[in-house]
Amino acid sequence: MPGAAILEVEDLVVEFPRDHERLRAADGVSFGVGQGEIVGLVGESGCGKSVTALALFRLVPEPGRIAAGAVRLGGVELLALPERELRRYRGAGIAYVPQEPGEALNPVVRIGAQIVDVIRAHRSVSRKAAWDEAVDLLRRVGIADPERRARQYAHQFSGGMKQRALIAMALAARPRVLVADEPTTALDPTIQAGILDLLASLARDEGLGVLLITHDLGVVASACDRVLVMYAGRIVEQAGVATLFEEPAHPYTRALLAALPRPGVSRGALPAIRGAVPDLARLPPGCPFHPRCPVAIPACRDVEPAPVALGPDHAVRCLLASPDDAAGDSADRPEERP
Amino acid sequence: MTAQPLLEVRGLRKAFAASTGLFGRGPLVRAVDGVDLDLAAGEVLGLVGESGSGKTTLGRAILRLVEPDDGAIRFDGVDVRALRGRELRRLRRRMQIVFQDPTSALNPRLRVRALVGEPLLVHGLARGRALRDRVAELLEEVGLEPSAMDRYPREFSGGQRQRIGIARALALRPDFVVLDEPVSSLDVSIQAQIVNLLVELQRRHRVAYLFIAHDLALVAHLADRVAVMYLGRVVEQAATRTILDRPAHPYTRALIAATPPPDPRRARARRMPIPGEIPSPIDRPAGCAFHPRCPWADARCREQDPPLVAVAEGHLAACHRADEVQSESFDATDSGRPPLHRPTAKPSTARPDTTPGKETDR
Repeated sequence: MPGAAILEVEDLVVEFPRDHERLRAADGVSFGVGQGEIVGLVGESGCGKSVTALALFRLVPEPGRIAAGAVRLGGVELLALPERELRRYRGAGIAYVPQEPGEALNPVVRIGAQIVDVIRAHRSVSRKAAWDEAVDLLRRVGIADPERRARQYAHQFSGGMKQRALIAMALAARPRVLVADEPTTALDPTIQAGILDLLASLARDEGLGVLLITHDLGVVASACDRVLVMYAGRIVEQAGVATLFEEPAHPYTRALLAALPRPGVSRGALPAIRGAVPDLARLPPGCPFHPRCPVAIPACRDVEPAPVALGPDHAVRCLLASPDDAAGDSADRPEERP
Repeated sequence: MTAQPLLEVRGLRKAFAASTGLFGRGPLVRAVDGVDLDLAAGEVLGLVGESGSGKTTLGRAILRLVEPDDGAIRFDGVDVRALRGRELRRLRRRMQIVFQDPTSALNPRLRVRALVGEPLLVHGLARGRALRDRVAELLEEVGLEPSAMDRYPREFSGGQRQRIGIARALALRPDFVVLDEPVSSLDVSIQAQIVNLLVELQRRHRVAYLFIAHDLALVAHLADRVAVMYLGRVVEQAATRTILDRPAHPYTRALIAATPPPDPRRARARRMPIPGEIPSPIDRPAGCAFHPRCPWADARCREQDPPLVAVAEGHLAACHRADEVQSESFDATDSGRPPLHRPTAKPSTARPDTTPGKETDR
């Protein structure tokens, strides 16, 4: 993302102590989120995507810690700020939309009042002005009859409306970047589509940068501009959304895409990925994906691949990828081994 | 479908009292509100619907793991609701369930040997050496080493635990298994393994599945036929291909249109399917429950509840206007509404219909 990145993450390392060792939940994570850009962060459980998101807020749970790296928001290095100054950026610079809308809202406070609290925590405005702004925010996120809805409680909202209310609450602090952690996972597809549409219009019309954490490649395909694929604490591939789906270069990305059931292709065996997601405390040497990789060569067991640029906005960590192989074509790859 | 279905469900109902805390029972939530289903021997019926549509309750009510309030369940000619005690237990040998969350479904204090062997022991089908051999065989069948039997569930990954749950369900060689979101809690890379295993076992043993899931693509992959649930009712039921190509219920169309394919170009060409939210089953809208969100709804839909009727051979739909809905060409990328997402960098012209503003009042 040349120049325009509002959020820049560089070589982020998050460590957790376990059994006299330190395991790295995020290991050398680098990416950017540009203005008006929706960046998808995809990966399976334990790949480090949630820890990475929390590190952006410096909220890695104890005993984990950010061991290295930089998180810059509009050029300001957040990891170096004293806690008191950092608080100005949490919410106001970069805001978080949690996964479970049911649990994130206070059940005994009116929705409008919860938004008012956020507004007044960040700006000194009158209660009345803040209430009006809260109603406006609810309208902006597509909630009909916002005056009445603002006076209601969470239990009077459906799942999709709760998610919209949480987005309104995140927007209340006027952030430049929104981090949305699986915001539609709990929702029906017909409701999910509306939430993704809302995120898309916030990015397009208001220049909001969005980091969308998800495991759903359909969501990525429909909502994201760029994609980061995480595996075992590392970003193993990043690319523009069209490139990622059309020319995936990392064997893991390819395998994930191949394993998806598609309507119309009935009941054939899905190309499954063998084995399981590795335990971060027991990562194999070399490339962490090599034990599951269908195209691994002996060197993959010894050498951890560094990111290779395949194009202006396409990088991959795989020994088999080379810049000459720009299209990420698989023609010259070794045959799948038995 | 054969003349005599293996499973016949008619008018099944189950309601729960919504808890309101202080003053006891609240209004009734009609989780399953009059469901008819047929399942042939060896057939896979997919059941899709949003969370809260009642699909999990339906699966459990069929097995009488929750007691239905009303309706009939016939399994291989036997009236399941009339059975008591020993007779019911005997029938349960033939009807099994695999739960969504393999971790909470397996007793953490039991070894795999006991978990998988328990059904065989309870039904007096095997003991001692024979039991052990049978457990080893079942574990191999689901892709686990026989040595797994001496370990505890916590020593396994999520995918392996689901394999244990499947081995347990298959131990009695059932004719019918309810699979309640069996891969939803698993990682994407593991889902395909379990789906393949389920397909393989179904083929080998000719077992019938009721495959419950919210992921339409997954259901379409596995199922011979698909039933779509909305607010406690089946609103459409047909062969998988028919559901995907010629859906007759507007909710089914919306569901298909809203499920983004893993392909950015097609995913972005999708249209905003329908506005609004799913109403609470406590406040079921009058007439057709889908009418507040339905682009086809007219006066009749607001007043009369449409029954589930045949719109073609083997194709049922509960929609007053099913004929018109079905005759309109269906292309998931063109449901007649404005684009869902920016396909190109067009200036944002007015798009009144995409404002998802018409939330349903409660």
